[in-house]
Amino acid sequence: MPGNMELSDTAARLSRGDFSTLRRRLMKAMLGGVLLPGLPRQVLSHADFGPVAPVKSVPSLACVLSDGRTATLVKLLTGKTTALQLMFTGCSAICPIQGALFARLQGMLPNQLARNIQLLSLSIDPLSDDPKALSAWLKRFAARPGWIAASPALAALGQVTALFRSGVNAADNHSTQVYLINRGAQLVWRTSDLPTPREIADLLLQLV
Amino acid sequence: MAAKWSIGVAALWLSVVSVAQTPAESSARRGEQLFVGEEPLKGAIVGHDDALPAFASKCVNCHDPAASEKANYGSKLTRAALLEAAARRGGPPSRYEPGSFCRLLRTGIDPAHILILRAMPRYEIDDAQCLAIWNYLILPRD
Repeated sequence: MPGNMELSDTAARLSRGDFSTLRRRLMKAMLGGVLLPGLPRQVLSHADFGPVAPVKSVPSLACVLSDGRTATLVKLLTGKTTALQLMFTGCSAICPIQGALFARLQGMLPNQLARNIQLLSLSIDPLSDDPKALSAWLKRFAARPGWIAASPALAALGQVTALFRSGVNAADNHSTQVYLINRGAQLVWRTSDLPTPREIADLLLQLV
Repeated sequence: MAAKWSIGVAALWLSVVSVAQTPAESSARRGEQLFVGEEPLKGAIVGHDDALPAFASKCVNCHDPAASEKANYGSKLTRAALLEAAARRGGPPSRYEPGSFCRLLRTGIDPAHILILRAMPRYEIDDAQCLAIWNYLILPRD
């Protein structure tokens, strides 16, 4: 309670202008200065979606891609603005919906490659999702260049789930949120579950 | 000649018997086709403008009768689970009947007036399709 009273006193002392300035500064600090002011305002007090504050650097973990190449997750993300979804190709329930969502999203991103925007389907089942399975996943949704799929090394799976707070459903064991990562390979935004393609597209275009 | 006639008549009788179905059986057969996606259903996630591709909105994707309760993303839709009174999603005991079942498919509101998960598509489904799925699900099974 003393803390709340202190906050109330502080707020009362601030004029409307001061308060607006303070709010803007807080917003800017929370977004790490990476998002533009026009981004939709989520419920900032909600821990599970909206801006990630402070931003989180993506760990440098090894991944295998659908074409058989290997790369670190950081390398895959650096220099591109990325929308990332967690999935696994053996999932018949929610993952087809997620794939359809990304397919629709890709159709909303004109000049995607020129803008260095990429979509990444990141598997949480590295034991099953080899390059062949990942390639089939992309083909199933008619993915075009700019949409990649990867599996982390098994040993790194814990880091992936920790970063993205996975594990919301016992059957599928992953979130249906979309994670936005800036060109510096930092996680800056979590959407709500199953966001609309338009919402993701708008966020990506503002992050570029 | 008589033997050939007998065989022919018997074959015809068997084929008629095998395809003759009551309206409820016929409806349930269609319901199965809808449930597993042999006949496509049009569904969308709440808030999304576009319908999902049919393969992504099949009932069986999340309510596979052959899978265990834990392996299914959604609840298992057995005859008992639908018809017997049970507390669902923290609500008071309720049971399904065709009207409330169809309302759930279209609006996501269950018989206890509780909204189900957004991850389940809401379907543009006509009465005959809906009743067909219902008839399929409540078929007595061993």
